[in-house]
Amino acid sequence: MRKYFLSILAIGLAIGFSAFTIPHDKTNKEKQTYVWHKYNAAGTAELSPIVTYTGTEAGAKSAFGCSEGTTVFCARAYDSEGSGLDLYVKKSPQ
Amino acid sequence: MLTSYRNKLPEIIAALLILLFCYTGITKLIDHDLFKIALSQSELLSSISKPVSWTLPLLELGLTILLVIPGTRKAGFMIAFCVLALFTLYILYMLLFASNRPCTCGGVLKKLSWQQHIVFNVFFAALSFIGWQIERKNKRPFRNPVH
Repeated sequence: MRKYFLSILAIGLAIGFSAFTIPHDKTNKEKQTYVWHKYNAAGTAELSPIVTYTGTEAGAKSAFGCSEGTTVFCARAYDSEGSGLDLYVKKSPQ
Repeated sequence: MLTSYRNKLPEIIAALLILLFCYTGITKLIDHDLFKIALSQSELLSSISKPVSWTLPLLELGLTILLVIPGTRKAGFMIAFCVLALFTLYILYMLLFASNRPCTCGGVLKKLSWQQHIVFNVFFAALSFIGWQIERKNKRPFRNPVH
């Protein structure tokens, strides 16, 4: 059993340290991390080049400079599979 | 003295590698969604992000088991060295060629810069290589001199 002591101690430490990892809250959409694709003036995803940001809704607003507003699409959230979600960031017309 | 060093050093190196792989494997599974997103953002791994997001943490936990069992420790050191060398090559590729560099590492290692990551990986790759070589010499069968 003595020959396993250091290994078991290391596993215990690893489990202890990883207990401090906080998984992302899936229930709160505002805090959830998505891949955000920037939308252009035509209301479609910017494709050449593709402009993306990975983070929260607030982060996407800041990254793409989306001012407060509800009329013009600014960015759309995509999940890790690359599927578009019904979650948009909008802005005011300029 | 030399025998004691040859017995103890692989145990200490194995414990350090177990701590590393067990911690990063568990944190990648705990925060699996974020890990998958980060992989899907990588220019090199985006097309295989889903299988990699599962195989990598499971490989790390499998390596932990190999390093714990004395009989499989040599194989554990060898695979750990190969995995860490691959990680280092991936980081070098990202640093040299990639414009978008999402961090796919687990836990507090996300806080390291890419340059610090290379130093970290090279250090652990060197440790696993040393462990592998010591285990290789320890396990070498005794041969009678030829008469």
